[in-house]
Amino acid sequence: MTDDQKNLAALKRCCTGDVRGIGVLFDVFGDRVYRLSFNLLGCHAEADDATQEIFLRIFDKAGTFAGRSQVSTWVHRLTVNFCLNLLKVRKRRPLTLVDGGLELQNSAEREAGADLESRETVAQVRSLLARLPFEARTIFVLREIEGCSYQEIGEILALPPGTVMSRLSRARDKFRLLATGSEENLGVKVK
Amino acid sequence: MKEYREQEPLDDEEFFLSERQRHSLRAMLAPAGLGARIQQRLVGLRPAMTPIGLRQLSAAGLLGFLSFFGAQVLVSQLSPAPIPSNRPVVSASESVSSADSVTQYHLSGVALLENSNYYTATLDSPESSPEIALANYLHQRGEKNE
Repeated sequence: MTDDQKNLAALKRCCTGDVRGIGVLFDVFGDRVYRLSFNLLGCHAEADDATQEIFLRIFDKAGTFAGRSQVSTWVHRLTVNFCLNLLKVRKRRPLTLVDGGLELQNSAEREAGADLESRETVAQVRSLLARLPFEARTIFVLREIEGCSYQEIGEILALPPGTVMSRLSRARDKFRLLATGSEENLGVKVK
Repeated sequence: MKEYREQEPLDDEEFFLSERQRHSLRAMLAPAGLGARIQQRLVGLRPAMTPIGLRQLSAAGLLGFLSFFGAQVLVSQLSPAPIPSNRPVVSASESVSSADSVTQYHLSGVALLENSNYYTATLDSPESSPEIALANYLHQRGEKNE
């Protein structure tokens, strides 16, 4: 049984009201949903709330999954849409992380063994991400942090591959501009 | 220190950030216990929205149905026995008049007393009603007092 088949089986359990199904899906996607929410919203508390709401939606909407894409793509799409709607409702952009970059790393990250240099780099990249527009930030995070292929990004954002490539290129340009335009020593090495 | 290159096209296999940066950014984990909290919310807050909840609701409905009819049977067993057919027909006013003064006081203004014809006509009917049951009770009570 492939990973996607296992995820599909867990979704079917959700359809029957079996809460253990969402436990299986959280084991697979919990970190990814939390990380993506945090990178899009810029706040751990909001990422925590968002992750809860997203998994409740996954449970409620499990029956609507049509199987036209992988479960992971569907979960990514729900996450991006939820965060986008949250930001629209609140009519604000994510927090600026420049001053609190290091503090924003949670204990889980520290336990993951990231050394001080890596933590500084993470904080610096996130401070730049927070200054990107939502659309650019989303596509940048999906590609650079989550490692999604262009095709996956296209399915998540409902965009053709060509549009994904052009928007990703623009997002990288903006990121590079922010990095070079900053007066701080960002230490962010970009290609 | 900063290290930037001129922009160059990237294919699907290439990334903008370095492998180390990407690895560090991906090290973030969900807080411990978050999955358990989500499951608790699903169990605690949304039982009625799940199929299991619907089954529980159906069971509760069946229990309510059985309780209702059980109570009906109990009430019917506790109610006075039907009047035998050879029993003399009495009017409501006669039944009430045979009751004690306190009962009469509480029964003053009851619609049944103002329509004794209806009472007399339906006294022997197999269809029971609260009014008939009341009149039967009062009549039996009057007989005992006598």
